Amino acid sequence: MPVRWPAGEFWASPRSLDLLTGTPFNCLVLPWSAHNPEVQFTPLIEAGRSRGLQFACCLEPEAAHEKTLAAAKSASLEVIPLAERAKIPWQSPPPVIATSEAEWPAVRASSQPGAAAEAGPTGLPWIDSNGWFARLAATLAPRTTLWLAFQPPKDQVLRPNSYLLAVADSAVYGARWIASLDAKLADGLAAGNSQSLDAWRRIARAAAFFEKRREWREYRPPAILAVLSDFRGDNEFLAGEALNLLARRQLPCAILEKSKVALGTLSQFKAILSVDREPPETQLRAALLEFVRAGGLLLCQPSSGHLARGASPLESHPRFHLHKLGKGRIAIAREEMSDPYVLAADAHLLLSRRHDLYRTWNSIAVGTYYTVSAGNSKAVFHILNYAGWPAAFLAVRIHRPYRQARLWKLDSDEPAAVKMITDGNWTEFHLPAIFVYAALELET
Amino acid sequence: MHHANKQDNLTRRSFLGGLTAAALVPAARASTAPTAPVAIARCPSYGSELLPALARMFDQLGGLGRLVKGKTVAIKLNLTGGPDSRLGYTPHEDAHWTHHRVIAATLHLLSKAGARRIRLLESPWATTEPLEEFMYAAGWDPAAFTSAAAGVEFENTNYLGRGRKYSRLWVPGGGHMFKAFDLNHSYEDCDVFVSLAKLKEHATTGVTLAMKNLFGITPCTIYGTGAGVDEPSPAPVGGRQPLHDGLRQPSKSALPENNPGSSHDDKYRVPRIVADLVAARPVHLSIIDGINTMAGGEGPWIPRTRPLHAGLLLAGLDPVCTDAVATAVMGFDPMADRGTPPFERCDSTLRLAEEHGVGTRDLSRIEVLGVPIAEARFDIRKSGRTRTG
Repeated sequence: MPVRWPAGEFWASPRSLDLLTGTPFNCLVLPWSAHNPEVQFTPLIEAGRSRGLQFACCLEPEAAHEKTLAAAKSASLEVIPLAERAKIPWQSPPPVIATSEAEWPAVRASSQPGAAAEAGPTGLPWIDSNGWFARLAATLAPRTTLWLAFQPPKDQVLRPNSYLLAVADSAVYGARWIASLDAKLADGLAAGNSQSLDAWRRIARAAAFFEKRREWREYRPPAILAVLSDFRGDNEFLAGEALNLLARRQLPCAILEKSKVALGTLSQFKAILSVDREPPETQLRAALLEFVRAGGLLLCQPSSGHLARGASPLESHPRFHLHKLGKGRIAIAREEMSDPYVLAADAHLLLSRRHDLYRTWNSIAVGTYYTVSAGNSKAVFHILNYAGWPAAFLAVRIHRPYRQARLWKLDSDEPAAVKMITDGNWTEFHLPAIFVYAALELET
Repeated sequence: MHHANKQDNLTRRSFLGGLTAAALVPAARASTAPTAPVAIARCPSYGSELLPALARMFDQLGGLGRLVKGKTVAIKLNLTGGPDSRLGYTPHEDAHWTHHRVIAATLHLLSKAGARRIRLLESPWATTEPLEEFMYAAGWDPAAFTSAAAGVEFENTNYLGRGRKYSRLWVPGGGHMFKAFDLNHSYEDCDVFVSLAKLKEHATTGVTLAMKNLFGITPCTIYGTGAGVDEPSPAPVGGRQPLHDGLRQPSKSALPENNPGSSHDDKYRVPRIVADLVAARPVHLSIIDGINTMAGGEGPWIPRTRPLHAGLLLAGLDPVCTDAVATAVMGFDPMADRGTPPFERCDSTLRLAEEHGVGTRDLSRIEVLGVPIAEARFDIRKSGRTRTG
């Protein structure tokens, strides 16, 4: 569990390690650079090792000076490769990789003076979240742990809840945030300020919450729609943003790396969104046609128009040529799909909301992530509030009958009861005000 | 009761045209505005008592058959606001939307009475998505409507929709604010037009009932915040703020306001625009769902609003008469005007529509059937329960 260790006299001294007592943080990411003589950390590292702590630094491979690397290795620091998203070596990933290309999770503040938040095309506020990328990383490199190296925004006064959201937005999706403190909090901790200490304890408690529930990481999102791509090169942006914006529509989706798709592997889905500009090669084409003939909906780029050969035209759509093939449909984009917002909306509506696995109400700045256990008997419905103010009267309806629900919050060791309404095929939950994060733990 | 239906023996176009011609004569105003009966029924829930209650009301009004047999019926629903915003935990249909069971029961009775084709219409907030999808997003299942009657169709009327062009409907006499409105084709391509509304207060117009429901027939592609300047925009963006504040005119393809320099006060403008709409698009049947509703305003976005169980249904053949009776049932005087509840800060849509000759708001001239007003009356300002959660 990484924490970015601040620079400064207090933080270089072994007494700063007392802050870690009782917290899950066990790996200190040091501010290591060629301009930062490593010797100042020697007492800290020695004292930390005696407490069982690990020490690491994150370095961009191409930017790392030989001298810096050598110094890190001589100090026995673990060197974690730090890369932009597009430069992560998915084919041969290291056990741990960090990316600097990550967002501080929040409702995005408006660039317009006087406006409270930036709106997306729906009028809903735009949310910055790393959830989609954490999920993508877990799919492309399932044995790699992703560290998200985003730092507190410099132009904002952060409240403790902002930090809790940063922890949750990473952990819910299986990644780890390199917990990073802003200068005010770091200085406050160094000075022993009680408010700062309280904030630090809350951050640690939030991190511990997810560490205690590691079994939730094994749960997988049930999805009826899959995004198919190689998620690389020219396809990376559209595929990634499609994941991001489908999540914003509360539409759970699976991530399909196209080299891994084979015949018979797609039957669990109702729709596949094929994002890539390149037409599918033989094996993938066969799998997609099999999927459509069995009743699925395939959305694809104009370059895949040949897939609709022999299919019957259906009703018109402003952005797609729709065809019927077997029991299913193929939607060939009239022009190259390039706007991820429109693409996510089109995919959702062509599939139809009648297939939605769940709905939420009064959730304007809320993100959700619904995952189920291997046997489908257990589930967790994660709720993240990005707003900075409480989400009140939030209601969730899951189209599955559940018998038992427990509501977990970051600030309580005991679960709370939650009001449930069942109606045969669905279960609705009326939640109390949620400030940052809550999880509904469900059993059928 | 058997009152002559305004539309008997008329085609839809001659009916609309006739109204236009009639209104070229200076409005006869209140004393001669037409009247039509209004039925009130107690209905404690949306359960088994709903269908017979509605059927009885329609029978009291002279029966649906002579109004709809063999006809295309268009029903404007009230599905105001977004599908993801509830009043507290209260589902849309139990607060600010026409309840889906009232819609289904109405469809069933219209079909039984011989309606050939029934079209459900609404202009969902800022989207071109199909109306059915909007309903799904609120947790509704549109199959409840297609299974309630044969020949049920849906159309999102907030843009051009399935039409080739917008239909221009003229306001008899020139209108308070607009001479005509360019609307989705659905509002012209029907023989019978029904306003299926909710019994609510309204922040801008005092009350929202069968008439105010028509504010939502204006497509935001022409009258909305993101409307095209010259031509309608392809998709609606935002709400109807320009109709509220007059700070911009509709797309130039439509007629502008009669006097673009008139007041920017929405409480002056919106009642007039609603009255104009009701005159331009006559309502043949008004149905108001007041079983479960809300008090304090028209939607969850209004502060201090609260759920309310009133257990009432109203129906009538004239929207002014129906709204006048509904206003009285809510504890107000339908003859009131600006300065008096419920019109403390706005003009009375009832008066303005009455001035168009649409119908009378004078209770002494309106026959009330079923439950008398005195027995149905409640004080909506003192009703409802606080939101908790």
